[in-house]
Amino acid sequence: MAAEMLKLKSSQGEIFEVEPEVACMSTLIKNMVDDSGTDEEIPLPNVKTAILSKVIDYCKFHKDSPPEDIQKPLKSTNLIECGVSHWDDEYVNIEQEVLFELILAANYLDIKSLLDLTCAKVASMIKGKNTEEIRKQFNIVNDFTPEEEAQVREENRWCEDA
Amino acid sequence: MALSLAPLDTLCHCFEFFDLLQRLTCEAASRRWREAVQDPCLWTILTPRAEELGSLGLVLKRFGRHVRRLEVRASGPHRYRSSLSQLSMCQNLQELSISGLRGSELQHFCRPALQVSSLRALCLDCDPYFSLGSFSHQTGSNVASLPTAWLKEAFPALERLSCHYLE
Repeated sequence: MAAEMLKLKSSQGEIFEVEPEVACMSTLIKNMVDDSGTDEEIPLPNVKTAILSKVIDYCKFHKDSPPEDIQKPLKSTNLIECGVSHWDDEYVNIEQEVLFELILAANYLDIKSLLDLTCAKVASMIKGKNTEEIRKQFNIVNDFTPEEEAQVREENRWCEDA
Repeated sequence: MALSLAPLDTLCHCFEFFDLLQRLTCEAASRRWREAVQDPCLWTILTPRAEELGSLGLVLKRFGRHVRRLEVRASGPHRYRSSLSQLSMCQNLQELSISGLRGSELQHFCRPALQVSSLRALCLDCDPYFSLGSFSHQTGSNVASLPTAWLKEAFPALERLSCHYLE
């Protein structure tokens, strides 16, 4: 007999019925199930419906085929050249906003391979860029005072033949 | 939601996928990113590629105290030069593995001032090949040696020494 489905509840109250093996790729959910069983709905107040649905897609796909480790450091801005599968590469080929929400969800739900994938994606977007280009890419406000900025520069100055 | 507001540990996780120089580039982006780059967990295990040797000296000078394991390999035009000059900053270093050492580089490595009292394991792999005769290594014109007295001074807690001479 098939195992009972788990009910995952998004922050907006939507219920997803998911096979236990799929949901338990999340260490957070696995621990909750181990502690209190599978009958109750599992509330995930930090994950919106759209993001939870996307996380479940990932878990369904990887339930029986865990992804390979991703190279550290990344050798290329092309994730496929760093050991990421085509499916995974396509999976994180999404808007920045969604990507950041996925990172937070993977972190909260404790799904290591998804956290690796999403963080590697962010890293691939930064690789090869200078500080100004990085700020632009991620809308980062330079909140250093001129003195602090000078200090960072000074600390990172290095003479090869010192 | 913006990446700059992400929890520090997730930012760190992103930075783990960077080489050393790119981490330092990120440090200059904002206060929060600087804080994330300075997280000790980013620097505990360092295995830089040969192309990164140029920035290793700076990284060890700044973050050497966090490093527990360091594995470096010189190859081709990517040489050690001054990249190991800051090893004495690594006062918590336990395992050190240095590959592709040439005679002159080994000589430079064995300088009297170096002391890392936390080091337990040292692995040296010399390049292209050395002949071993009572801890004296010869490569053509350069003669370099690994004096045991120096080893004892430099790494008083050393438990494991391994040297690979021929590939």
